[in-house]
Amino acid sequence: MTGLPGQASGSDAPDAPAPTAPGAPAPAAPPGIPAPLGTPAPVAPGTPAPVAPGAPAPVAPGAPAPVPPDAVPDAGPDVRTERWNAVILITGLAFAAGDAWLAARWGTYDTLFYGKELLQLVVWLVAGFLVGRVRPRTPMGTLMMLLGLLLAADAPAAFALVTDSTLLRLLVAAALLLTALQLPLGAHIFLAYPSGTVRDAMGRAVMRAGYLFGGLSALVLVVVGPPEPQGRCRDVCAPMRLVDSPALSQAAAQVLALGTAALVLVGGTVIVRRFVHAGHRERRVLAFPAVAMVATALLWAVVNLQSAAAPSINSEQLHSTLSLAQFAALVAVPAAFFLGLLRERLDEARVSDLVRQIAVMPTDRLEPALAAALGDPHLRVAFPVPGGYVDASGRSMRLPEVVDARRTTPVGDPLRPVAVLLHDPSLRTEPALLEAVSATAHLALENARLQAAVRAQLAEVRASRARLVAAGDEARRRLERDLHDGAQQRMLSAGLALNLLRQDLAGRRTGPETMELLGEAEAELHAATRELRELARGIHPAVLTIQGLRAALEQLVLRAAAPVALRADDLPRLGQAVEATAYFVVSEALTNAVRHARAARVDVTTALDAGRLVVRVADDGVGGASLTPGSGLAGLADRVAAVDGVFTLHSPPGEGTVLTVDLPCD
Amino acid sequence: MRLIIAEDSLLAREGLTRLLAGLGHQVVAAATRAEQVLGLVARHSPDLVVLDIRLPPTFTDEGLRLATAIRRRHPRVAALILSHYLENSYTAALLGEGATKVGYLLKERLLDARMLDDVLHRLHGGGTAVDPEVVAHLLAPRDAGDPLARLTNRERDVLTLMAHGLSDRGIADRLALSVTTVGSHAHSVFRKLDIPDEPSSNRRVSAVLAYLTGNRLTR
Repeated sequence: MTGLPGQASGSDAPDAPAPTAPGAPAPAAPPGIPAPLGTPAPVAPGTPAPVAPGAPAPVAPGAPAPVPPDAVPDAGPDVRTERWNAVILITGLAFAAGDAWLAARWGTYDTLFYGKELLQLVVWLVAGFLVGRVRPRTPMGTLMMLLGLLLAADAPAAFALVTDSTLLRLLVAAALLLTALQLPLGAHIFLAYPSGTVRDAMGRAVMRAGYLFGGLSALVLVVVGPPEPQGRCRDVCAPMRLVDSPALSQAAAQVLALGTAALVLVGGTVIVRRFVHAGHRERRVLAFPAVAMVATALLWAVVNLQSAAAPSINSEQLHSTLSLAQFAALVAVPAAFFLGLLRERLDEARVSDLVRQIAVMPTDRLEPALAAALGDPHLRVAFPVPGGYVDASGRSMRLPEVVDARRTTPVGDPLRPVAVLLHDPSLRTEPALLEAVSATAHLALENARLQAAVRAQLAEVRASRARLVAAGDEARRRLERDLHDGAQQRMLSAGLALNLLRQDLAGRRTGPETMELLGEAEAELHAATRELRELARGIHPAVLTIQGLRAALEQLVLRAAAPVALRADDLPRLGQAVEATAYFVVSEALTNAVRHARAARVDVTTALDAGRLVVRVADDGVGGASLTPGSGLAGLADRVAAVDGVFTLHSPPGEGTVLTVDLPCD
Repeated sequence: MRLIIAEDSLLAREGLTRLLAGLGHQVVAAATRAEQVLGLVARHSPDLVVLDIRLPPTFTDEGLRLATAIRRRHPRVAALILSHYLENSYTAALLGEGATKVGYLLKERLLDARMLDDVLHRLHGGGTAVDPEVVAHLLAPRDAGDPLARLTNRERDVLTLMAHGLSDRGIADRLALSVTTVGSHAHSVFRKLDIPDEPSSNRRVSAVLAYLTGNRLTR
C-alpha cells in the first residue's frame, strides 16, 4: 500500500530530481513542471475519463454487495459471492489497466516504480479472489479484493502525473481523497483475518477509529490538500485544494502522519497479542501473515513518524530501503493470507472426507480415521463402559490418572460422553475443528461404543469362563489331595489299629466270630481304600499334575478296556488348564468309544504345532455321537471353548467317531 | 533290620513304627519332611528307608526323588516307596535300568504285615518289588491278537511274578516249582513275547515292565 501521498512519499516514490537514480525518467517529461496550482491543464487526448471518475462508486468499504437478491433468485450465497467477486476482479483489473495507461502517458517516475505499484494491487485483487474461492462463506476474500480495487482507484494520487488537464487534476484529487481509506480498510482486513470478521472488542475499536480517522483525513485533504510538492513535484503535481496554504497543509500532514502511526501501532499490538494468545496449531495459520502484517505496520509507522517528526530528512538510501521492504511486506501479506486459509481449508477437507466415509466405516477403522482428520497420529479413542474405559476392540484402557482437559475431549454430553478423544494438547486450540470432527463422528462413535462394550463383555465372559474352569480344576486338585492326606490316611490308621488288634488277639482265647468280624472289617477297609483311590484319580489324576499330559494319557490308555494306540509327541509341560482339558477330552472320548460306540480299536494322537496342541481321538465304533445338551461331550465342548480351543466332532452313523480338539498353548 | 521312615502324617508314622517293631525291626529315625531324609540316612546308615511318595514341601513325588538320591549316594541302603498311586509310570521311573534295592508298594499293603515283611527282606537282599495291583492290568490280554494271549497259564504266572520283582528263586518258592522249571518257563515267555533275555533278574524286571507297557500303548 502506498503511503498517503505527500506524507509518505519518501518511502514510495523515488526522491526528487534524481539524476542519480538509475532509470529515472529523463526530464523530457511534459513541460510545465511543476505546474502552478490552478493552472488549467489541457486534457490530453484519450484521458481515461470513463475509467477514473466512475471508480470509487462501487468501492465503499464495508458496504455490503449491492446486488439485488432477485437478480440471482435461485443462486445460493456462494454463487452470489462468486459473481460479485468476479465483478470486483474485472473492475479492479480494468482500473489497473487505466492506471498503467496514465502512468505511461503522464508519469514522471521510472517504470520500476509504477510496476511495483501495479503489481501490489494486482496481488491483492488476485489473492482476494482466490481466498474467495477457498473460503466462499466468509467475507475475507471480498474484503481483500476491495482493498485491491481501492489501491487501483487511488493509485494515480501517487503517480506524480504531470498534466495541465483539469480533468486529470480532478481525477488525481479524487484519488487523493480515496487514499484516506487505505488505512482503515487495511486495518479492517488485518484485524479480520482469518475469519473475515473482527471478533474481539479491541479489534473492533481499532477498526472503528480507523474509519473515523479515514473520514477525517479525507476531509482535511479536501480542504488543505497534500503538503506542498517538493523537488520534482513529489507525488502530486498541481494538487487541487480549497484553502491554499502551504504551511497549513504541511502542519495538517504532520498531524495526520502522527495519527496514522498511532493507529498502526495499536492495530499491530492487537495482532501481536492475538498471536501470543493463539494455540500451537492456530499459530500455523496465523504465523506468516502475522509477521508480514506486523512488519508492514511497523514500516508504515516508521515512515509516518519520520515524515511527521523530521520531514527534512531525505536520505535516498533510507527511502529506497524502506520502500523495498514495505513493498515486500505488502505483497507478502495477501499471499500469506491465501496460504494460511488454504491450509485451514485442507483441514476442513479432511473433515469432509471423514463425513463422507464415516457412515460405512468399520468401527476398528474409526480411530485411524479420526487421527487423520484431526492431524494427530497418536490420537486414541476411549469408550466409557461401566467400571472404566475400553478401546474399540473392547480391551480395557487406562486413562491418565489426572484428566488433562487439554488432552481429552469428550464427545457428546460431557457428563455422559459416548467417547473420549485422547489427543495432542495443541488440538485444543482448534475448537472448531475438534467440534466438527466430534459432531461428525458422534453417531459412529456411539455405535462403536456399543460394539466395544459388547466386545468387552464378551471378553469378560470368556475370561470368567476360563477362570471358572481353572478354579474348578484347582478345586479338583485340592479335593484329590485332601482325599489322600485326610480320609485315606485315616483309613490306613484304622487298618493299622486293626492289625495291632489282630496281633493282640492272636495270643488270647477269642471266639471264631470275633476273628471273623475282624477279617470282615479289614476286607471292607481294603475295598473302601481302593474305591477312594479310584475316586481320587477320577477327580483329578495326580500323575497329570506331577508327570504331565503324556504320562497321564499313557495311564488312561493302559487302563482302557479296548485296544488303544497312543501316538503322542514328547510334550513339554503345558498350562494346567490345557493339560487338564486335553486329559479330560481323551478320558471322556475313550469312555464313550468303549461304552457307547462299542469300538474295537481307538487311536489317540497328540501333536504340538506352532503353539497349538491338537488332540485327536478316532474310533471304529457305531458313530452317531452328538453334542446333546447335558451330555459328557457337550460339557467337553464347553470346556474346550473356555480355554479358547476348537472342538470338532465328526461322527456319521456307522462310520466311527473322530473327535478333534485344537487348544492354544500361549 | 534298622529302618528310617519318612512319613508326614502322625497317625501313619506311629502306626508304621509300631507295625515294623511288631515285625522285629528297629526304627532308628523318622523324618516328617523330604529335606530331612538324606541327613538322617547319612547319620544312621540304616538298612532300609521307608518313604511316603508324597512329602512336604510339595506333596507330589518327593519320595521317588529321594529313593533315586539314596540309591546314588548310599547304594547299600534299600528304599521302599509307599504310594497312593496306581500309575506304573512311577515304578518305571524308580526301577529304571536294572536298579536294585528299590520297591514300590501301595500304602494299603501296610495292612498285610506278612507281605510287607517279605518285601522288606527282598529289598534288603538286593531284590526289587512292584505292587501286584500296579501291574495287574498290564498282564491281561486285551484281545486274541495280543501276544500275551499266546502264553500258557503257568507261563503267565511266572511272568506276573517276574513283573512283581521276584527272582527265579522267589518264583520257584512261591509256585512250589524247581528253579530249573521256572527258568525254562521264563525262557519260553521271553521267546513268545520276543523280549531279549536278561541275565540279571533286576534288569529283567524293568525289561518286562517296559514290554508290558509298550504292548499296551502301541496296540
